[in-house]
Amino acid sequence: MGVSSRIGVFICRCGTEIAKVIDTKSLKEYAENLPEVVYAAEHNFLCFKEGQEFLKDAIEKHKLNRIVIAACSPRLHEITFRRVLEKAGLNPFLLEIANIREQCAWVHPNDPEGATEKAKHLLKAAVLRATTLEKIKEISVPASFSVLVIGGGIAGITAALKLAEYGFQVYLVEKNATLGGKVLQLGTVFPTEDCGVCMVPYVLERHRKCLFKYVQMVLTHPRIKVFTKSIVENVEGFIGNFRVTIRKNPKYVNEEKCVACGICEEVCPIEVPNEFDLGLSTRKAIYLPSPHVVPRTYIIDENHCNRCGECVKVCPFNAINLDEKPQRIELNVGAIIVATGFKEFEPKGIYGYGTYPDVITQLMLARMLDPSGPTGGRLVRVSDGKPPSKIVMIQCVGSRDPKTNPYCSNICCTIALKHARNIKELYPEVEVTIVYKDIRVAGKNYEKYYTSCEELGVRFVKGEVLSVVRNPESGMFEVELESYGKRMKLLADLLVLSCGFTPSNGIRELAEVLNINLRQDGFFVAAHPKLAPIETNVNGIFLCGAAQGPVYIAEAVNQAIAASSKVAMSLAGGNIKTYLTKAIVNENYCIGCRVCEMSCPFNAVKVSSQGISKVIETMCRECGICAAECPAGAMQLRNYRDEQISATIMGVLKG
Amino acid sequence: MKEFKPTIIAFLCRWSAYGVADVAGISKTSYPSNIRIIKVPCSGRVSPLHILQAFNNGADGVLIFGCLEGGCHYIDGNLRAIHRVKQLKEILNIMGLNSDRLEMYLVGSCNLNKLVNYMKEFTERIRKLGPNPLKLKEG
Amino acid sequence: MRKKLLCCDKIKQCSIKLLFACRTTTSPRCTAISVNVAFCTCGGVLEKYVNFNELEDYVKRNRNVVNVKKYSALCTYESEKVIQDFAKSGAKTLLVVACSKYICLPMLEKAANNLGVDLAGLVEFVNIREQCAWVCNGRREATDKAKLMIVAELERAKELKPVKKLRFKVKEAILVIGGGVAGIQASLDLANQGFKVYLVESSPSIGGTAALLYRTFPTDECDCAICVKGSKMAEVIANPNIELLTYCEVKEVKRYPWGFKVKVLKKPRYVNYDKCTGCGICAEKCPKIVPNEWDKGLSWRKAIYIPFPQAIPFKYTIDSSQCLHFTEGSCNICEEVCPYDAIDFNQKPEELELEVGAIIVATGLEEYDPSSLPQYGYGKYKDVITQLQLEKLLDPLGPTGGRLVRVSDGKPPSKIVMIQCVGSRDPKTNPYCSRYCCMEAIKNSILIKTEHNPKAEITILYKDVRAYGRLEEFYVQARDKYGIKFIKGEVIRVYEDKPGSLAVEYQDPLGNICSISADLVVLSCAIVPKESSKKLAKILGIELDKYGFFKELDEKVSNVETKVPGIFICGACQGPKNIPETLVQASAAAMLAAFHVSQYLEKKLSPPILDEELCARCGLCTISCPYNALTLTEKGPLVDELLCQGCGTCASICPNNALNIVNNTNELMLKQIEAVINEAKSLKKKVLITLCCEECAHTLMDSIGFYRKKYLSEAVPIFVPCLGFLSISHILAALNYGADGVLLVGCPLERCHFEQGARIAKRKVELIKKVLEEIGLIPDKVEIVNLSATMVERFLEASNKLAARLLSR
Repeated sequence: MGVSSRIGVFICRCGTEIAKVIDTKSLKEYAENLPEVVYAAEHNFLCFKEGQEFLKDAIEKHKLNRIVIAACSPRLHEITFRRVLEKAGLNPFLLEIANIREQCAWVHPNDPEGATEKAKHLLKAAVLRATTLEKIKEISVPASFSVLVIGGGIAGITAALKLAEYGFQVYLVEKNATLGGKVLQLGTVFPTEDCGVCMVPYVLERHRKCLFKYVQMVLTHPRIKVFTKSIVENVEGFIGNFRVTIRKNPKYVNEEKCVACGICEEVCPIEVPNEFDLGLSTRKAIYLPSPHVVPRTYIIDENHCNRCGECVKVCPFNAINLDEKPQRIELNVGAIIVATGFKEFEPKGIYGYGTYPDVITQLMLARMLDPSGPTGGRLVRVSDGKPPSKIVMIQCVGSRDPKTNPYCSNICCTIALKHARNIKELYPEVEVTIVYKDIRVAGKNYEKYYTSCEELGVRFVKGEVLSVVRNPESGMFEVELESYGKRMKLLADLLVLSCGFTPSNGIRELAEVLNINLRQDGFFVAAHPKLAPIETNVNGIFLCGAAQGPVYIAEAVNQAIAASSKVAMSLAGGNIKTYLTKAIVNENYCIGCRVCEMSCPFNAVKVSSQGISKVIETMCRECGICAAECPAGAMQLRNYRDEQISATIMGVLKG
Repeated sequence: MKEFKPTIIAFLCRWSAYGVADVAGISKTSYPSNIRIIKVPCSGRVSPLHILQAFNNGADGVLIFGCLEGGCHYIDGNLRAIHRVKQLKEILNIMGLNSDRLEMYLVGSCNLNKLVNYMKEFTERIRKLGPNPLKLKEG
Repeated sequence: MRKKLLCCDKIKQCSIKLLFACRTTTSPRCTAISVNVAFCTCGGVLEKYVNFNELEDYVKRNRNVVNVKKYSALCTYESEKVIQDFAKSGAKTLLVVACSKYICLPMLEKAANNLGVDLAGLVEFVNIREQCAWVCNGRREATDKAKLMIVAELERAKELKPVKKLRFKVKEAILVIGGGVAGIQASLDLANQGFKVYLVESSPSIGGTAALLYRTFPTDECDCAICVKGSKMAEVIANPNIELLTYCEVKEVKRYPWGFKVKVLKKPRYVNYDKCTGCGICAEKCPKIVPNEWDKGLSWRKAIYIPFPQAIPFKYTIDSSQCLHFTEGSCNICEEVCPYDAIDFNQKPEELELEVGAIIVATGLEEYDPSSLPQYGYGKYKDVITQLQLEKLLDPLGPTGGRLVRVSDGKPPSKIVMIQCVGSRDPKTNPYCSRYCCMEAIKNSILIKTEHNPKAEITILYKDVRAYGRLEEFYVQARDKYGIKFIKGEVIRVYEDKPGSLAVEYQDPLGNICSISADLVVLSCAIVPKESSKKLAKILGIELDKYGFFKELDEKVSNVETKVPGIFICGACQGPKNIPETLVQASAAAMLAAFHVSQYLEKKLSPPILDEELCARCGLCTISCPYNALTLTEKGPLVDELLCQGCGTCASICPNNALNIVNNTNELMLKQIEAVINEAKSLKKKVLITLCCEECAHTLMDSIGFYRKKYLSEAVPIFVPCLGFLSISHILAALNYGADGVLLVGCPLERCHFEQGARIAKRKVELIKKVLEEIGLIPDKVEIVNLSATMVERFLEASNKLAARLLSR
C-alpha cells in the first residue's frame, strides 16, 4: 500500500458490559503503543448515534485510514460501522472488529486478568490485520434481461409466463414437439378433480382458463420465444451473461403454416401405437398427440415415417418439409430455470408387467379413465376389452426400494387413491384393493381421498407383495403377500402398479452442460435444503417442478413462481452488484495445475488456454477453498489473504 | 515454574462455529480464556500453512471448527478441511510434533455445549501434552 | 343456507313476471351497427364439409353486413390481411367464421397489435370447424348448422361495444404480516428486488415458530433452525429496504384503486427502542418471574424480557400484564438499574398508517392443544409433553440446557413413546393431515439417540409414516440404523400403571389390545391455524377455508393468491408445511406481489351496468356475487371493478333486469335465441338451443371436434360467459319461441370457473322444470349437463339421450 497506514483504535465499553470485566483503560494504553496506531479511544456506546458520530469525527480529525473497533460481535454491528466508514469517506472494508464482548468479556466473567490479556491479544491481532487490509471496491456487471427456461411442462410454462409478464425476455426450450408436459396425460388431477389443464392465467384474473388457451398466451406472448423439439447443447459464462447454444431438431412441419386441418393424417399410410396413450391407442406417423397440445400443429415421428411424401402432396399450405435439417441457435441469457420433469418408472419384468397386458401402470389407468382418452373413460381389461371385476393396486413399485429407487415418490399414493375413488364412483360393483406400505397423502387437501376411499369401500391391505402368478385357466392374477406376518392371497383380473417416478431422459447430459449437481438418484439437488431450496450450486441457475423429485402440481407451480422470483431478484437491477471480496489469482505464481478449478464448488475458477487460472467474480462465493488448496500460493481470497490470516495468528500469539 | 497455561488457536467457520461462540457469550457460558478465536469464511479456507505457522509461532494447540456434515455453506469445504487435517496430522508426527495438538471438530450452529466441551477437553489434552516443543527451543 | 333459499323464491317470483315480460321484448331497441364478415376455409379443407358460397350469399342478405371475404388461413399468414380489410371496410365490428376461437384469436390479436388496432370488444367468432364441419354428417347438414351458428353470433356482432379497459398502478410498497420463516423470506425476496417492505410482527421478536425449534429436517443433523433463520433474521435487520415493525398489529385495512391503506397498532414496549442495548441488567434485577411462553412454559422469564437469546431486534420488552409497576404500581427497579435510562413506563400505544400496493399474509401456525383429548392424559400427567416442548428439552439453550429429563422428577427418561396424529387425521378434531409431525417425531427420536441417550428405547405409534419424498431416507435411518421402533396402532389411552411410570394402551391393526410402558410420552400434535387469523381475515376481507386456514384462490394452481387481488398468503397460515415448502411458497408470494406492485396492471372489464330507474335496491345481486364485488348503496349496487370477473351472475339474479353485462345484455341473449329459432323454422329444421359457458363447455365443444365425434346437428351452441349468467327468462324464452329443447352445458359443479355459476344454473333448471309443469309444459325439454373440457363421451351420451327424447316427438 502506498500511503502508510494510520490506524485508529476504538474500544467500546458497552456501558459496563465489557468494562466490568475488561480493564478498557489499560487496553487503550496498550493499543496506543501498537505499531501504526495513531489514535486510540474509549467510548460507552459506539453503536449509538453519538458513538457513530464520534467515530466519524475522529476518522476525519485524525485522517485515519484503518479502523479497529474492539466491541461486540461483528455479526451485530459490522454493517453499522462499515456504513460509518463510508460516510467518513473510507472504504468500508478498511475496518476490523475485535470481538471482546461475546467472545471475551461475557465468557470469562470470573477471570478479569485472563480476559484483559485475551482482549489485548485480540486487539493486537486486529491491529496487525488492519495493516494488511486493502480497499475492496464494488463491481457491477451488466446482466442480460433475459431468461432461459428448460422444460415446457406446467412448471416451465408458469415460470416463463410469470417472467415474461414481469418484463423479461424468455426463451422456453422443450425437448418434445409440444408443450404441456405430463398434466395433459392425466384425465383429472388432484386435489381439485378437474382436467389437468386448468390454470389461472393472470395476477388479476380470478378464474381459471384451460391450459391450452393458457399456453396459446405463451406462444403468442411478445416476450416469449418457444423452441420445441430442441435441447440445450452448451452453456458458457456466468450469471447475467450465460451464452447458450440450442439445437433445434427438425419438426418437418412448419408451425407458422400448419393449421391442424388434419388431411395429412388421413393420407398417412403408417399406423403405430400412440405413446401419449401408452400404447392403448394407435396413431399415424404424422399426428396430433392430443387436442390440448400446444402448439396445435401436427408432428412427424421420424422413427416411423417412411418418407412416402403423401402428406407433403395433400397439405394445402405446403407446411410439410421432410428434408428439414437441425439448426443451432445462439442465445445470451441472464439466468436459467431448469424445469425438466419426471417420467414414470418402467417396471419391466416386475409382477409380470410386459408379459401380461392386464398388468398396467397408474399412468395407463389414468389414460383409460380420461373421459377423452383412448377408451373414452371406460375401464377395460387391455387384453380382451372386457370390464374388470377385481382390481388390485400395488404401491411403491420402483420406489422405497433399495434395489430400484430408495426414495419415496411422494405422489403415487394420491394418484392411486384418486383412481380408486374414480373407479368406485363409476363402477361401484368393482372390487378395488390397494396393497401399500404406508398411505402418504400428507397435507391439507389430500387426506380427503383416503377417507372417501374408505367410505366407498376400497380395501386397504398393508403388506409386502411376495409374488404375482397368473392362473392360466381362470386368467386371474394371484397376488401373494405378507401382511403383519400373515400370508394372504388376493385375486385380480386387472393389476395396477403404482410406479415411482424417475428423472426424465437426458437429465444427466443437461447436468453436464449446466455444470450443476445431481443426486445419486439422478434428480437435481438444491444448493441448501433450507437456505436455498431452489437455487443450485451454480449462481443464476434455478430449479423448479419435478427437476428435484416428484411433486404435486401445486408445489410445482409454487416452485416455478418462486424460481422466477429468484431470477427477478438477481437480475432486477439490470446489472449484478457485488463487493470484490472474491478470490484473486497472482498470475506470476500460478502454475496452471487446475487444483483450484477442480476444488471450487461453484465453478467460479477456470484455467485459461495460457494455463493461468482466472476467477469469475460473479460466480465466486468467497469460501476460500481454492486459496487453501492452491499449492503455489497464487490463489488468494480478498479480505482473507494468507498474510491477513497469518497477521491475525501472529497477533493472538505474540502478546 | 508456574503452571502451564496453553495457548490455543481456534479457527472458527463464520457460518456455524463463530455464531455459536457468540451464543456462548450471549448465554454467558464460559470457556478457557486461553483459546484465541480466529474467524474464517469456511473451515475449508484454513490451509496447512496457517496451522504450521501457528505452531511455529508457539501455539500449543490448534483447533478447527467447521459446519456439520452436509451443512457446509460451501457444499464440501468442511470435508476438505477434515481431509487436510488428517494428512497434516501425519506430517506433524513426522516433524515430531504430537499430532494430538491439532484437532478438527464439526459443530452445528446450535451446539453450544458441544463446542464448549470440545474446547475444554482439548485444553485439558494440551495441558497434559505440555508446552509446544518448538516454543521451548526458542528459549 | 338462508341466502340460497332467499335466492330461490325470489327467482320463483320473478320467473313468472319475466315469462310475461319476454313475450313482449322482441323488437330490437338499440340501433344495430355494420359488420364485416371474414370466412376461413382452412386452406380449402372446409370447402369439403361446408358450402361457403351458400354461406356467403346468406350473410350478404343481412343488411348490417357491409363486407364479406373468404380467406384460406386467417390464423396464420393472412391474419394481418384480415385486420387490414376489416379496417378498410369501415365496419364497426368483425365476425370471424373459422376454426376454434382460441386458435385464431391470439394470432389475430398479435396481428392487430402489430397494426396498432385493439380488438377487444370488436370481434366475434363462429367456430364452423370443430363445432360444425367436423361433427356433422354431410355437407348439407353442416351448412345449415353453420347458418344457424352464424345468425346467432351475427346478432351479437351487431351490438358489440368496445370493451372498457382498467389500467392502473398501485403503490410500490408491500406489507408483510408475520415475521416467521415465510414472512422473512418474502420480505427479503422483495427487498432485494428493491421494493419497500413493511414487516409487521405481533411478538417482540421476529423468528416465528421455526426459531423455537432446536433442529429442523430435512438436514436435521446439519443445522438448527436458528442457524438457518439466524442468518436470514440478521439480513432482515441489515436490509435498508425493510422496515421492521415488531410488537405491532394490523388493525384496519382499506382497499383503494392504488392499493391498501393500513392502520398498524404499535404496542408499547415500555423500553426505548433506540436506547436499549440488550445488556440485560434490567432482567437480572427484575423481581417478577413468570413462565416463559417461548420455552413452552418449561422455564421462567422475567416481566422484562427478551424472547430468546438470538431475538431480533435484540431489545427488551416489558410484559405489562405481569410487571409489578403496572400490576401493583410499586416497582421501578429496572428503571433505576438501566444504565441508559431506556425504560419508559409512560409509553402509549401508537397508531401508524401505511400505504402499500400489496399485502402478504404469513401469520403462521399454532400447535394443537391436546388437553381437550383426555385419552392422552396431557395436563393430567406431567410427563406427557408435546413435540414442541420436547424440542425445548433437547435445545442446549433451552430450560434444561439441553439435558433431556422428565418434567416431573428431572430424571433422564429411558423409555420414550411418541404418539402420532394427535389432533390430525381425526374427524372429531382436525380431519386433515398436518404433514410435518411424522418427520418431527423421527427427527427428534434420532436426535435423542445420537446426542442424548443412545440406549433410550424409543417407540413411535403411528397411523402411517408419512416420510414422503426425500425424507424417506431419514425414516429408514431411524428404523434400521438407530433401531427406533415403529408400531402401527390406534392409541386408546395413556395411563399411570405404577406411580411415576406411564403406559400407553393401543390397538394394533389386527385388533389386539397391547400396551407399552413409558417414562416419557411425546404427543405429535397437529398444526392448527392461529387464533388471530379469524380476526385478520375479517380485517383483510379474505376468506378462511373449512379448517380455518386462509383460503387460497385455487388449491391446485394458485395457492398463494386470494380472491382479493393484491393480497397473497404463504406459509403455514395457508396449510401445514415443512420449512422448504414454506420458503418456496414465500418466494412465490413475493414474486406475485412484486409483479402486482411493479407493473401497470391492465384488466378487460365487463362489469354489470346498472339502470338506476329499474333497480329496486333489493340487494340480491350483492349476495349472489361470488367475488363480493358488489356493495349495496342507496344508489343501488356499486361494482368493485377490480374484483368483478364479469360472470353475470348478478345480472341473472336481478328481478327487475336492472343489471346488464356489456356485450351480454339480456335482450341480446333473447335476440340471439329468437334469431336462431326463426332461422331454423325458415330452414325447416328442428333446433336444440345449446347454451354453453365460455370456460369448460367451450373447450369441450372444441375437443369433440378434434376427435371428429359426430353428434346431432340440431344442437346450436350459443355462448355465455358463465351459466350463472343465464336467467330463467332466457330458457323460457327459448321454449316460448319454439325451440325443440334447451341444453345447458357448463363446468362441473365443484369446478365452475366462477365458483357458483354452475350450481346456480343447476338450481334454476330444476326450478324451471317446476315452473314448466305449473304452466302445463313438458318439463323434460330442458336439460343441464356439467362437464369438464375433456368429458367428450359423456357429452355425446347426454346430447344423444336428449335428442332421442325431443326430436322424436
